[in-house]
Amino acid sequence: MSDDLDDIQAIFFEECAEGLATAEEGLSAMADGDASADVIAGVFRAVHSIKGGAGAFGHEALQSFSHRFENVLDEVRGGKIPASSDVCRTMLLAFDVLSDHVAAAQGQADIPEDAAILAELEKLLDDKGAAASSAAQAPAEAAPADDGGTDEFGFSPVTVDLDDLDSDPFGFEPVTVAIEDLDAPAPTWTVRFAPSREAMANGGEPLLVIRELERLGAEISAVETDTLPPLRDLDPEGAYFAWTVSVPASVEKTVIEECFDFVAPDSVVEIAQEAPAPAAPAADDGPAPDGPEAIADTDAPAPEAEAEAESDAEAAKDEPEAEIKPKAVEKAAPAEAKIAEVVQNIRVDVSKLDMLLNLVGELVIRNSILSDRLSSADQQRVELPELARLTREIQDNVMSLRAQPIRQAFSRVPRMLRELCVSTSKDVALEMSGETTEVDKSVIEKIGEPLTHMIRNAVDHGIESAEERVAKGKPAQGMVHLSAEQKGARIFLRVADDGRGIDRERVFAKAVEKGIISADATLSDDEIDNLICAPGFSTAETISSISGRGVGMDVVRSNVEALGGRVEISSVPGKGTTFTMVLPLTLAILDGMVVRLAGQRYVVPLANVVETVQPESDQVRPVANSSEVIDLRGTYVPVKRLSDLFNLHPGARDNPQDCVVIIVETDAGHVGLMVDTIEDRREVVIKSLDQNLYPIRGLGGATILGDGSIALILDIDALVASPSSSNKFALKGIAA
Amino acid sequence: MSSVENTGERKIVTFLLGKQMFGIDMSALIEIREWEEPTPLPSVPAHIKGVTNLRGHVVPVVGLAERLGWAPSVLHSRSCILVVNIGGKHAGFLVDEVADIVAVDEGSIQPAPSVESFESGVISGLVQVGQRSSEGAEDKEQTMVSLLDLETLSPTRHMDLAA
Repeated sequence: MSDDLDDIQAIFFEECAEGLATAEEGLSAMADGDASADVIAGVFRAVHSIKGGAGAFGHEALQSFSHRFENVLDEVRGGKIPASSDVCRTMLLAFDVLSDHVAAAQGQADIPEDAAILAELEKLLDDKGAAASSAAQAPAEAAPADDGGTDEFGFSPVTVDLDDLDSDPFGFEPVTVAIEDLDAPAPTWTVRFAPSREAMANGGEPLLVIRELERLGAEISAVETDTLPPLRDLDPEGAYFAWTVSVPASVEKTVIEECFDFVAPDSVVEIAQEAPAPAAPAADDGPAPDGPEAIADTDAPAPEAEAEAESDAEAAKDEPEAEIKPKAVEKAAPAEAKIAEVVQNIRVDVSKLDMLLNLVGELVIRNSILSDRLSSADQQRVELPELARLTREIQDNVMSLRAQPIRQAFSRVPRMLRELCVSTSKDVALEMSGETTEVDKSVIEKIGEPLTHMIRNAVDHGIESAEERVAKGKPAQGMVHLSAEQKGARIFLRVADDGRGIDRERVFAKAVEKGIISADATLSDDEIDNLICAPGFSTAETISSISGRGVGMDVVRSNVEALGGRVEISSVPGKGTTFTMVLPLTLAILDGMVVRLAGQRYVVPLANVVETVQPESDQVRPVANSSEVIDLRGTYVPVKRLSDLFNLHPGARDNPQDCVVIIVETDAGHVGLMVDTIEDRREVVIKSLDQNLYPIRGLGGATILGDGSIALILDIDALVASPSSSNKFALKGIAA
Repeated sequence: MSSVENTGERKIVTFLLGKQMFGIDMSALIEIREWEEPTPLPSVPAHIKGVTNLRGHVVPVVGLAERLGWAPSVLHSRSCILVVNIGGKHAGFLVDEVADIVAVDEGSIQPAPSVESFESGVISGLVQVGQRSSEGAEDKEQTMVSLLDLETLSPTRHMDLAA
């Protein structure tokens, strides 16, 4: 049982992480001036669910902090506190503390000191003024009234301005009045709670719920014990009792419902008001459970849905009985529709997705084997393209299951930067782009650490102090630009700063001092820049707590290489440094050109291909000893023979006229790649080489062709950029 | 190997390379395949002969003879590839002929003498096994089997050390 509880708690923390990411995104958007209702509501919901879970699992510090944070958010949501930049800043700080509280609840950190930030939050609440607070309830209560009122006339729930209520074209305001009337005599809430039999086995502890209700002033009025079986039939972990609890009318219904946020899904929860309302049970037994009882769903069903169900019950009370039943059914439908609009999530073990992806990969390969084996007449039949299309769609869908926006990896950066700014006393702004770039989940999980190192490096080493920047004629505020983009089968993740750039003299001197290179080595600028990735290298003159234990960039490089990627550094002294992580879209599909060379087949990513040329005599000309260029309409483009790059049959040089030159686009401009023939153009499934071997420079992976044979996928950029490849191996050699 | 605590017995797949008999743990073996020319890879050590398609997975094929520093195996009809699982990574090893599956007593395995001409760690132990004579008769002739340490032979090992 405790294991189950741990599992459920683990899910709660997962949800916390998601909630925190949503909240931070929303708060950042608000700080950037987008204070739309959706954004604010999103933040509110996220904090609210964290609070709910914290209560259910007994994390009191987290619960009380999130509760007070939520209060402020509620006022912002209601427009009582303006989402000014000061308010947003305070809320961002509060968010940071909230993250710490979550970490503390997970046992990863101590409970943070939150008195100061709580005082600031209280201040926001006080500032909004006493006058506003008296009216604060109005909008929340009026919202359901809106739905109820329109339904009364058979309207589907369309957006109606709250202001319209007063001048309702039908002159009918029954619900608005009703609520106020109901509030006046203050009948108490009667809550019946029958936990599901498996509640405790699933980690739901009814006692916690009852205690939470008691904290609201509730009293247990009855306990149904007749469901208790004879002792010999008793399952010690079963939950048998049902409680009837009366809660003071002053407590809002939503607050009561919150107590049940984490009960097992099939538990019975009935919340009714004392006043005799024959309609209420009808509404509860009918389709209405989608409303009040769906609260067991921890993903916070749309508040509107709950509110609407509530208005059902209340509206019903004021109506003649005859009309009630059809209405309850009729009104439940829009409630369902609204729930459907909320994205529903299901948690799936990633290993199951991996399995699915592998199977689909097989399916694609079998599909193309089948198509290869069929006669050309059969290939034209309608079934085959249809099968291919379906296969393709399945594959796309499976891929999209695993693809996540890179925003997830970026989301922790803003906070990190805020903290770095404080600890380094530098003022650095963050700019992000390409957050929606979708990357395989496995990549997102593994780039967090390298990304952290790169950002720390940029702030600690790259960006100068404000005085130094002003003296150099730069704006006092530094800038770090974080961007992601997909090019072909690769993801380019860049961290660019506008700092001082790499001080090559110092790097060189340091490398000599550390024995990484000899003093008489002659290195190009690029090679010197790359030295900072050498193991045990750090230029930080004093080791700071932020970066510079001499492991930073080394770790970045090895992590990225383990993913089958590479790190590129470009730096302009005085202007800034850009670190680029070039990462593969692991196991993605690639549009490729299948080429043949020396009996082997290779795949050139189509994204790199500009054009293909069948050279005429003299179109390819030798330049120096082994270099060649191709005359492309008057422009000379360097030509590389793939056989030379791979060191196949050295010595033998085919006549260019018998070959095909593929003009490819690389980081270093256009290059002609000479191969024997072009065979086909097709989509291939990338199988990474490091799954069973290790990444090989110049190869983006391998694929299995229709006939079951393997073709290697070329990584054109790495293949053509030979100088840095030799540099890399040189560094490896030195390091060993 | 947790299941052997009582019996102290290990199942070994034995095979020939040159004239010498080697053995690997049965538990690591995934399958035995006929030799098929693998797809060669650029810029890899000579003993990595390429990659092959193992049920949709791209698996490296290692010439065991070259890996041990011997001359490459001469291919013949009984040449085959032992596909093994080394810590979750798959690899195929080209051997001359698969001989037998034998059970040996854990206690009868002797440590490999350090005077071996092999790179240290490649041979994890030596054991005498009874070999079936060609007629399949009862009289068993004792042969020495060198047990290979697959971790050491893993084609990813050098990479792991460098990382």
